[in-house]
Amino acid sequence: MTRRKTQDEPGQITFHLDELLETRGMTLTELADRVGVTLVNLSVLKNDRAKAIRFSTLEALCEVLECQPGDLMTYE
Amino acid sequence: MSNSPAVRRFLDLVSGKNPALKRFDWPIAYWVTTIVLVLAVVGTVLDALDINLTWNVTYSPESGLHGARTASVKPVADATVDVKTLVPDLQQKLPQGMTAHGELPVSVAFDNSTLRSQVLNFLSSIPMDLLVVALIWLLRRIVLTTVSPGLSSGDPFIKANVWRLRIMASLVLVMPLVSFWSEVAVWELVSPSVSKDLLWMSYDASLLPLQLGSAVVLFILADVFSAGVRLRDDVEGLV
Repeated sequence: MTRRKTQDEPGQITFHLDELLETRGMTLTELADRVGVTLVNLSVLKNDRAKAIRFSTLEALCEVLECQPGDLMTYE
Repeated sequence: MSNSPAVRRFLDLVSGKNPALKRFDWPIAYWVTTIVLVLAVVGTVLDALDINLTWNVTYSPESGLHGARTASVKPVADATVDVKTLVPDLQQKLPQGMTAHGELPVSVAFDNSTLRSQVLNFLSSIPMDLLVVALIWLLRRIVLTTVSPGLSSGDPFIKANVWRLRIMASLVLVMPLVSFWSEVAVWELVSPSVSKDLLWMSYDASLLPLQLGSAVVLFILADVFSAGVRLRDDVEGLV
């Protein structure tokens, strides 16, 4: 679970869905279908507008994208 | 059973997911609450102008049901008198075994030319009228946030509704005090016209438990809405 911060505040969790999708040749729609999350919610995640993420969503993303949580997001 | 279309329609109806219901109910909620608010405002204005409108319905076996409408612009105040004081020999006129007791509601005309009487006249009815108008207005705003897709998001769990409920609870809490003060104002208003021995200053406390109970329920409801707002904030943006 993460709490989103405003741009002015130091420290922010950033998702790297764009890079992961590009390297795997997958579209956001396809990922949404396979993960079982709506396209709107996945866009929220991709654009760093999510306030929190379920462990089940995180697990599904890691499973479909064959990566670790640390590959999905970084703290900057 | 749970897959039956009838059950699904019922569940949609109860949960508010039925789009037909959404389209149908908001004009009703809007107009009903608007009419009630307008009636309360008109009643307050009539009180402020000292226009007393009454509508009485009487029934007797001989003449049947009759309605009578009366209007008066003469400044009058509703007071109560002890029935035994008003009719001293009433007990003697009654058949054996019957006892007279209680009070009679009367309308007492008073001189409204002095500033004191005008202020007392205002205090006897307008504060309670304004209290009722405020309660109806707040309730209307809450109702409209729950049902009207054209006027709001249809989400009642907003901070504004929490404050509306808290203000409503506070208003209901002060209602007995306002009611008591109204009786004091009436008593002071009509006492120069009528002997104080005849008049009763009566305060009906039968509604007090209901008013205090309603205030408590409204405060609890405000806390429930406050928890709803917090939960909504938590859930928003959850993926």
